[in-house]
Order: sequence, then C-alpha cells, then structure tokens
Amino acid sequence: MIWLFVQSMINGLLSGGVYALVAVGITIVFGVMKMVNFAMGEFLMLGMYATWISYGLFNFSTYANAPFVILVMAVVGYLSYLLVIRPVLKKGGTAFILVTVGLSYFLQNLIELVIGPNFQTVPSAIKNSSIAVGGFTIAIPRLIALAVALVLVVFVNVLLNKTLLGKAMRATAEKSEVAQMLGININNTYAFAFVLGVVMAGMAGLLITPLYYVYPQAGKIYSTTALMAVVLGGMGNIKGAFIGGIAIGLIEAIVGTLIAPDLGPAGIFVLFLAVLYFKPQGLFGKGERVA
Amino acid sequence: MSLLFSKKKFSAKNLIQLFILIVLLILPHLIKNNYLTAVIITCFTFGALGVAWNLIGGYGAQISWCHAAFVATGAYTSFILNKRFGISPFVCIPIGILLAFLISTAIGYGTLKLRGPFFSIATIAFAEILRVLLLYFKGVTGGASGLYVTYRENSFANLTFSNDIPFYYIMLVALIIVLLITAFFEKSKTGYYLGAIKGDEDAAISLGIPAFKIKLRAFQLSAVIAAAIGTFYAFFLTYIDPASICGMDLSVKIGVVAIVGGIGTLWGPVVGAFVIIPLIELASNLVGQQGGTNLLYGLALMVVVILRSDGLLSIYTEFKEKHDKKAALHHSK
Repeated sequence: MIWLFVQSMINGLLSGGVYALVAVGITIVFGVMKMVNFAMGEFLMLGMYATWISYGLFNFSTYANAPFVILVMAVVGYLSYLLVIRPVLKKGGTAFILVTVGLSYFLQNLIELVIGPNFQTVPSAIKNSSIAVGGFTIAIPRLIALAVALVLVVFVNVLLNKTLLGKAMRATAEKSEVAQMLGININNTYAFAFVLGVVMAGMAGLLITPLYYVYPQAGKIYSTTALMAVVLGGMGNIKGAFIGGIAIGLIEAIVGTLIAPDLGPAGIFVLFLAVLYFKPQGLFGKGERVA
Repeated sequence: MSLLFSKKKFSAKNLIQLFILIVLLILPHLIKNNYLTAVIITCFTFGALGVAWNLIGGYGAQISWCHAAFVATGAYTSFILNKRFGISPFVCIPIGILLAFLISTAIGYGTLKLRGPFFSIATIAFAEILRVLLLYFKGVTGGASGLYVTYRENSFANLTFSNDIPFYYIMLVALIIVLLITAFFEKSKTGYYLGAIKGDEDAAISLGIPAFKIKLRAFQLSAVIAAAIGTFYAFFLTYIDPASICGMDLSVKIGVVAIVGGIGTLWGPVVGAFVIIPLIELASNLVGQQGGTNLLYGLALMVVVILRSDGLLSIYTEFKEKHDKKAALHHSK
C-alpha cells in the first residue's frame, strides 16, 4: 500500500513536469499580455507532430529533433500572433478567449484534415527503459521530461530577470502605456512572449512523444490541466505555475492509483474548485502578477 | 401624418410576421424530406441553445464552454429515467433543470466573483470532468457506448415518433419560448443590471448593483434552459454518448452559433444557427470528414471575432439604422 502510494507520487511528480512546462508557457503570455492562451494544448500537439515529421525527415533520435521543433514552433507561433492575436489586441479579454479557442479548434482539425486522424508513433530507444531506485521504478523518458522542464523554467526565469528583453517584458506587464513611453516596442514584446509560450508548449510536445501516441486530439487534455495548474499557482506567477503543474500531476496520479485510474481528472477539478472557493488568488498569487 | 405612417408600417411588419409564421407552420409538409426537416430541427435546437448561451456569454460577457454539460445533464437524466422507469421525458425535464441549476451554482459561485478568465477555465474543466464521470459510471450511463431509445410506437408522452415532423413543432415551440424568456430578460431589471455590469463592473458595483448575484442568476437561467432543450434534443437524436453530447465540440458549436450571429442580441443566435448549421451540413457532405466541419467552427469563430465582433446580425441592424435615419431625414423635410 505504502509502496503503491510512493510509486504513484513518483509517477505524478514526473508527469507533473510536462504540465508545469505548459503552465509556465501560459503564464509568460498571461503575465505580459493579460491573455490566457486556450490553444496551448494544440501547440503541444503541433510540437508532437513536428517531432514526428522531423524524425521522418532526418531519422534523428527523439531529443535531437529539438532544433527543428523549436524552429517550426517559432514560425507557427509568430504566424498565429500576426494573423490571430494582433488583430484583437485592442478588443480585450473576451475576444482573447474566443480567438484562442477558435485557433485551437482550427489547428486540431487542420492537422486531422491534412495528416489524418491516425495514431502515429516516434520510435525511440529509451521508450521503455527505466531505472530502479530502492524498489521504485522511474521511467527514463519521464525523468528527462521533468529535468528538461526544470531547465527551461530556470532559463525563462533568468531571461525575465537578467536580460534587457526580460526587463522589457516585465515593464510591459507592469504598465504597457508607460513601457511604451519609455521606448519599449510593446508589440514586439507581446510577439516575443507569445512565441516563447508556443515554443515551450512545442518542447513539451517533443518531450512526451516517447511516451504517448501522436494524434490530432493529443493536446486536448494538456490544455485543460495546464490551465488549472495556472489558476492553482496564482495567475501570472511563474513559480506558482510550475508548482501548480507538479501538484496537478501528483493529484492525478494519487487519485488515479488509490480510487480509479479514470477519475484522475475529476480529482484535479475538485482541487481546482476548492482553491477557487477558498483562495481564489491561487496558492502563490497576490492577486497581481509577480514574475 | 407621422403617426399614420408608423401605424401603416407597423401593420405591414405584422403582415410579414404572420406570413413567416404560416410558412414555418406548414413548412415540414411542404418539403417532405426527412433529412431537410432534420436540418431545420437542428437549426431550431442550436438557435435555442445559442439564445440560452447568450444570456451569460453575450449579455454578461462571461464566456461559458460547458453548455454541452448542461445539455448532457438534461439528456442523461431523461434518458436514464425514461429507460429504467418508463418515466415520461416531460416529467424528467424539471429534474434535469434542478440538476443544471445546482451545477451552474457550484461552478458560478466560486468563479463569477472573480474577474478575468477564471470562469471560462472552470467551465472547460467542469465539462471535461462530467464527461469523465459519464464514461466512468458505465452501469448507469452506458459508458462510451452511450444510451439510445428504441422506437416502439408514436407516443407524445415518450417523445418517440415515426418521423421527425413532431420534433419540428416541438423545437419550434421551444425556440419561441426561449426567445420570449430572453426578450423578457432583456427588459427586466436583472437584464439591465447585467448590461451595466458588462459595460463597467466597477461602476455598476459602485451604484449598488450586486454584480456577482446578477451574473450568477444569468448563468443559472442559461444553464437551466440548456438542460431543458437538451432533453428534447436527446430524444430527437435517439442516441447519446459522452463524446458527442458532453464534449467541447458541442459547447464550442453552441458558442459559435451565438457569436457568429451576434453576441448579446436577441435574434443573433437564431441567425447564427441558420447560417452555421446548413453550412456545416454542406461541408460535411462535400468533404465527408469530421475534421473538415470542425475546422469551419474554429475558422468562423476567429474570422467573426477579428473582422466583425458584433456578428452577422449587426450588418442588417446597421443597414436598417442607416435606412431609418434616411427615411426620418426625408420625412422631416
């Protein structure tokens, strides 16, 4: 029993890394633009397809496809920003929700129409490999996913706090009018934040290709869970989003193991509603953004 | 003179309305094609669901992506009770309504106090959870394989008919009732309050409007109507399963109908339904693939929000306003 509990904690922690990565991607965009991107799951799915295509073209092993995936996602992200997000910047909150949901539908079904609804796999040598630590198993692809997620989050933190670009992003987040007066091109800042978020979702997609099938609806569940992680951690707080993602992975795994595998998402939702009822600013939020 | 003019115009308008009503009443007997009838019934259904969605999504500017969950609530309660205990769907409607009321209260209570996208996120999450629960409790809900009603006899009480014509009238009446409720809501105190909240929530609160309570009431009303329509829709489909009736696809479809037609207007969702539903039918007949039709929803949503966020109905309203202004100018000369 205790073994089962600890093992499910390990599994939850590991799968939480991917949720955290997507959640941090959402948070970066929200922090700067006050926009929740509801299409992140679909960008994750595109990242999976980019990995699949890259594998088909170059026959690289999974993680070596990263440069290609980053390039493709950056292009896709920038095009999405130009065509869909920029035209509604002035219209505000509701329009953001509507266009990004529209975008998620468009992308998902575009892939289904162009590539087809079939399940694809990217063969990988480490697919089933795992290491044993004191009787517990740790799946290597999941461990890599968590580690890369951690590195990316640290990278984003450094970017935001130590570079000029990061300062511009934080200034835009604080007050876009003042930032503009000080000579920051807020349009470029927005575009960069959006593309950065999309690339992170794409990387999350790359990280899970050794674990899951590649198909048009693959990203759906990540949209929902990552959004809940963001709220859980406190909107706009990068550290909060990361911990929210891990927490959601843990809850899902524990409920899944102890009650029923299919009810994992229900456990997340109960936690989510509870947080909204009792601490609506999230676990780490102060009501306003921090990062 | 001007009085006489307006009176004359009024009666001409009445005549057109009467004509439309007569056409609507005899239409199913004119087309004699069950497929076409079914498409029109679907238009009525989504018109009614869109009008309901509009109560919170349009008038309240709180975007809900879980109206499919309310449809599913109405659909599953009536299917389960009807199949297990032979209870008439008409008796089940109040039960579905009560459940939808409770669910909408639970979602709205935590999230409508907050500004920003919390409400939308919670609705997406809830719909997903209900779908998971419907799949999990196989014994009652039939799981992934769903539930269906079998046709035994023409029975109004059990909503089983040998053809779709009775559903045509049922859905037409349902749509009219929903439109009447919404028209009444628009002109009610709650409706005006909601408009004020949408315009500027802080200003509305400072004037003493209980913003949270008003938003919650609109959401409850919207949910309850969706559940009632859901019961009829399910019996019209004769088959329900979690993927089709409780999925994000259906929620988005309902929202798209309202947004494309005209968000926050009485007739917008009806116009939207009669544009979107036939378009989707046409596309699915031409492409013959699920992906193609859903692609259109996403595209329609983005294009309308980017190019004309007031929806298609606004084209007509704008034209009419210009025309009226011209007529008034002409008249004053």
